[in-house]
Amino acid sequence: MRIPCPFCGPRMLEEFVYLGDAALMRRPVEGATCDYVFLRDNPAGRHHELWRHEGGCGAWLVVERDVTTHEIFGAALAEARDAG
Amino acid sequence: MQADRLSAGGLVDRSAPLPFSFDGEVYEGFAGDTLASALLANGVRLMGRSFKYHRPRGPLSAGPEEPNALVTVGGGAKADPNLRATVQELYAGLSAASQNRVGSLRFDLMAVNDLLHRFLGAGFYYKTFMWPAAFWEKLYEPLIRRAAGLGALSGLPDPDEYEVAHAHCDLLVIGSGPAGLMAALTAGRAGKRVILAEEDFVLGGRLNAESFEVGRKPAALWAAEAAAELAALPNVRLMRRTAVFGVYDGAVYGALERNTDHLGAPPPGLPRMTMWKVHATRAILASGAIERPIAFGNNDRPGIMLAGAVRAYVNRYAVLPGRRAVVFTACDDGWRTARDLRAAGAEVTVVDARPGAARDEGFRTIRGGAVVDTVGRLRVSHVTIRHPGGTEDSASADLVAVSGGWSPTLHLTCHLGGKPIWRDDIAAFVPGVALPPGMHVAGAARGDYTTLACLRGGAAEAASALGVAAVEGPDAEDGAASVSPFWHVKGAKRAFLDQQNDVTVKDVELAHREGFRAAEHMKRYTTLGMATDQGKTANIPALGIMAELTGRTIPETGTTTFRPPWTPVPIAALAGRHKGEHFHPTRLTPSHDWAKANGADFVETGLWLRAQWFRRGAEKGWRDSVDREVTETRGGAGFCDVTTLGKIDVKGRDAGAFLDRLYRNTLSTLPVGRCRYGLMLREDGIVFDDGTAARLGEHHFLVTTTTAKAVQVFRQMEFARACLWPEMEVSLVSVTEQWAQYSVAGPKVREVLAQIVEPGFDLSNEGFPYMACGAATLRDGVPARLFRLSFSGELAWEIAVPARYGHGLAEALAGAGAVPYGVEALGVMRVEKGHPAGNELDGRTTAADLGLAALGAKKSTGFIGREMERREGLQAHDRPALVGLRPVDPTARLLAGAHLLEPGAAPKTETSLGWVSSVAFSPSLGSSIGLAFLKGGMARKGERLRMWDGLRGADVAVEVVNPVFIDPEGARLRG
Amino acid sequence: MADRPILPRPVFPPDLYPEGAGLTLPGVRFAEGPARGLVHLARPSATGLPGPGRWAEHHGLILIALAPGQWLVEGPEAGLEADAAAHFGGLATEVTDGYVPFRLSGPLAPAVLARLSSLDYGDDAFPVGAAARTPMMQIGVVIRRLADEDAPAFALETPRSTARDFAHDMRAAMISARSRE
Repeated sequence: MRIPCPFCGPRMLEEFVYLGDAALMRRPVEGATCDYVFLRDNPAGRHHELWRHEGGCGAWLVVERDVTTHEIFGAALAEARDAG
Repeated sequence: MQADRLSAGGLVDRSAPLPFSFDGEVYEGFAGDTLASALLANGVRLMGRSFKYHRPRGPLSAGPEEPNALVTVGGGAKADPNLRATVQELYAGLSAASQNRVGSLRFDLMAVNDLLHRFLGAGFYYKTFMWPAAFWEKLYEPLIRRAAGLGALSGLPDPDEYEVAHAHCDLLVIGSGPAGLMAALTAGRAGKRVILAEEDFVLGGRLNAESFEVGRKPAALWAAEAAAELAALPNVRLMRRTAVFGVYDGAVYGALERNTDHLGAPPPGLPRMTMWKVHATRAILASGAIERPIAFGNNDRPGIMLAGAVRAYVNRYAVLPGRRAVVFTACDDGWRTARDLRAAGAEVTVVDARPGAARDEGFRTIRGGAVVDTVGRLRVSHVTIRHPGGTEDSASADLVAVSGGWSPTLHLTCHLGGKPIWRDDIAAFVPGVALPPGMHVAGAARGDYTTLACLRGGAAEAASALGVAAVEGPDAEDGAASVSPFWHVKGAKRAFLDQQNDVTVKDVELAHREGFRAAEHMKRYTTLGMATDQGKTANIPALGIMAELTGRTIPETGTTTFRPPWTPVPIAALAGRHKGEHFHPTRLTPSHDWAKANGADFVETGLWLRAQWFRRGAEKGWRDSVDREVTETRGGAGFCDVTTLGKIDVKGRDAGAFLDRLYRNTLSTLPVGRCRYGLMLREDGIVFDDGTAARLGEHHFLVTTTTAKAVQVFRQMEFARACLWPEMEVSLVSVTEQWAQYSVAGPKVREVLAQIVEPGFDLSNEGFPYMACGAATLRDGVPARLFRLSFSGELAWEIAVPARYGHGLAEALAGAGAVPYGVEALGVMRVEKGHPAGNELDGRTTAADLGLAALGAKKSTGFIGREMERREGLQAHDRPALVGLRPVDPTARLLAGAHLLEPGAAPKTETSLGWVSSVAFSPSLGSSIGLAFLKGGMARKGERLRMWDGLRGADVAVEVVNPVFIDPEGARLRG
Repeated sequence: MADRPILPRPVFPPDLYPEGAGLTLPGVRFAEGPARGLVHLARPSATGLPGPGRWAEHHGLILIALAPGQWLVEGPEAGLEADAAAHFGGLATEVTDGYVPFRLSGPLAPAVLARLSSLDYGDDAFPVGAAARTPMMQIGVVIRRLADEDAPAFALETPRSTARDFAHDMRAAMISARSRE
């Protein structure tokens, strides 16, 4: 699988580290809640997830991927996104 | 001497004779031969014994689909089993041996299994060898395993080198037959970067095996000219002996290139194999098709071959596999073999299973007939032919060429989950609609069975894939081929489908009777298709038979899934250079060479090598060294390399506020020039890591982590910076590698450091108080940072210098009278001081468990882990909390991992009061000591408990004590 | 007692590496160096710095794009941290000793790199001026393409602690690439 890092270009999977659902970016302002820490949706299809390009630029990326086919629809710098 | 070699023709080089041996007999072949073709040329037909029944076998094919002619090539550590003689390139001095026989190949004692075949059918081990039950494991299974099998490994370490490499191209062409060559020419002439991968050692595919013409010249000559043109194009890379074995996500193809298996004396430095990862956004699968046999009685004897393979032996290798041939065919293609055999001087009878086939070419022909049985122990000698009316007669035959039609080699199209489609008109599966992204299929691989269609299709697909003009191709035959599906002769006995796993038609019928009717069940119950050839010549006929039995169509019966690899790949090739010492990179500290030269033994800590202890003089055991290092440090001065602990440089206007959100305690209030202990939690409230923070400037901090967690902490901090709080102005840089760092500790440390720092530097308690830090200059102007921190509990500093000075500083510290100590002594001293480390920060413990509830308790701002730490379960008062332990008998040993129990309690999960987390022999106290987590914690100080370890048989009385065994008031630290 | 000066020690000292870290074969050359200072620069205020995947020279210093908002600055060692901050603004952190510089050059260089790295080092994909950070045998490497007579030519920076393993891997890749010629 290749992830299209917006900074480095498409790179092989081994260069990345996976964290989890991109919902982790939306940490409640008042502090972490149980839902934030422990609950996730788990769709069999497209969803947004967080990867770090640890072997390359080190940036955190929000990647849209279909987990049933591994097709990747895009990757954006987490830093540049609205956490909203 | 080569009795069955034709005097002219073929692609072998008669001017280059090659001696080789098989089973100890020496023969001669030619350059361009495979081991199989050379053996056939020498009259050898028997090349193996079958897996289960030990039936005599010879080659069925001339290619990678070979089920029978499996040999071991080479000896000693280089012995390589299960190689197919039909693809093994011949070289001078090749030494091969047959496999799976007791005694000789001609007189294999295990052939007795064939007499017991009625009891050894599919799944026999589910129904027999049941009694007595105890005999299964000790007798039956070992016997069965020994009796069956293919080749054997040498058991010696592999002496060869392998490598993994990457290749990039605009177009990967898989296969160099007519379709592949035209695709490569189309792309190559258009200036695209092309890789043409061919499993064989010559390009051309089937063109090398046929006698017809392409472009008005012999097919093999046209192929050679096309290959020469491609070789001369700088943008085309020809990779022979390279099998593309798999398609993977992200348009990556796995390909195995064999560099040296055809060379007697390989050039030095050339790895035996290269595993290529080919990055190709577009690919043309031009992998051709594999012929399928027909199942009839005793259809597996040596001398019974696929009809297309016979043509390959005759046309490419100039070998005549038999002089009295019977061609048994259900398609037009078999007739080509009849013609080529006759032209080579053989007598040919054609048995065409199709009644309507109207041909008179001068052969003795039986239309609508079938070969039903054969005779001949080590080589076929007679066949029984059934005529359309039902009468049978026997005919002398030393060669039977069988053609049941062709099946496209579409495996790669299915590797990413695609499913093939059945076409009735060619009675074959063709690639389905969902192909791997970027892949096109051309030629016989997609069901185009005429040469002209293959040539045109290859050019057209490459043109379409790349948006370039298709190359105009040569003329070639375009005869419509007819095939009737004819899987087996009904009622035949010992009719083999999967010759490698000895699976017969009767086994498939058994599977059907017992309810294993789906393709996946039939495969696993009978083991058909599960051998090293993956059933390449067996799968389709078996499906055809199961479909007949169930009254369904083949598409309704389904196929099994195809997964990589298409052909066997050695695990060593996948590993490449990642083996032995180079399994992963080794990280060396700046003092490594000095430590090695001064008696250090090293231990792996993740990727790092750290000095574990330093052997001195006559010290015999590690305890001698470690005890001495602790004693000398606590009595004088010692130094330890702590470079491996993560060091993160934090800068920016919001640096302090950012760190406050990452750590449980407050760091923004740290004055410039001071250090503070820092505790970092996970978001679920459990302790993640600990370290120190030093403030070097108003907007400049340096934080440390444990060695083990350095990477994860940096990752977590970067996540917080980029994903949670990108609005904060803060930058994080890992400087673990930039600075060599030593802990220098002991009552005499100031005397040591006075010789290291520049003269006049104030190391007094007033000038450099406990927990102070700052830049400094060592003698000779070496820049440094000093931190007055102590992990050992002694008066101590940590000194950091740019890594290039690490070696020199170690020398200087030793020269100044500090004793080097390793991570073992470091561990002893921190246990003596009750410092939590990795064993205590094990992912289950909270700050309160560690006795650190007060750290940051008054903090009013938020931090990661704050909310979840307050969950009831993590605040419960009976959670096991950190205590110290001493054995009541000072000579007893404590064990990390042991449980703690009340003295009278029976050892059970419910009665366990906690566990021992760290243990050390304390030279300072003269006994084993430990840190433990105990329900009730320090409220139980003074109590006597039982340390119990059922695994290692320990039961020791212990006393609960202060975990700070040495200097609990901290006087040494602050002096 | 404390008479001997505290001297710097190279990563490839002559007592362990009498021929140095490098290797020269027909068609490809690999060597340590040249010596340089290296600084990590974050959040610079200057504009016109090289974009993703590129390096460039400014004020006599080499800037290599490392990550969003982060560059490596290469130049004369003395005072480089201060110089970088002065020229470009932002937060500068010295990492001179944390990395080891190497050069790889010659017509076989791309074939050598193919045995270490998954990136495309062809003339179109990685021209002069290109830069990347990527793992080679699990070691993170910063690589950029230079203009040089001995083309194609690359400058590499690898972490100090694994530099010896890196040099070993590079030499093995060179020998393998050369053995096919």
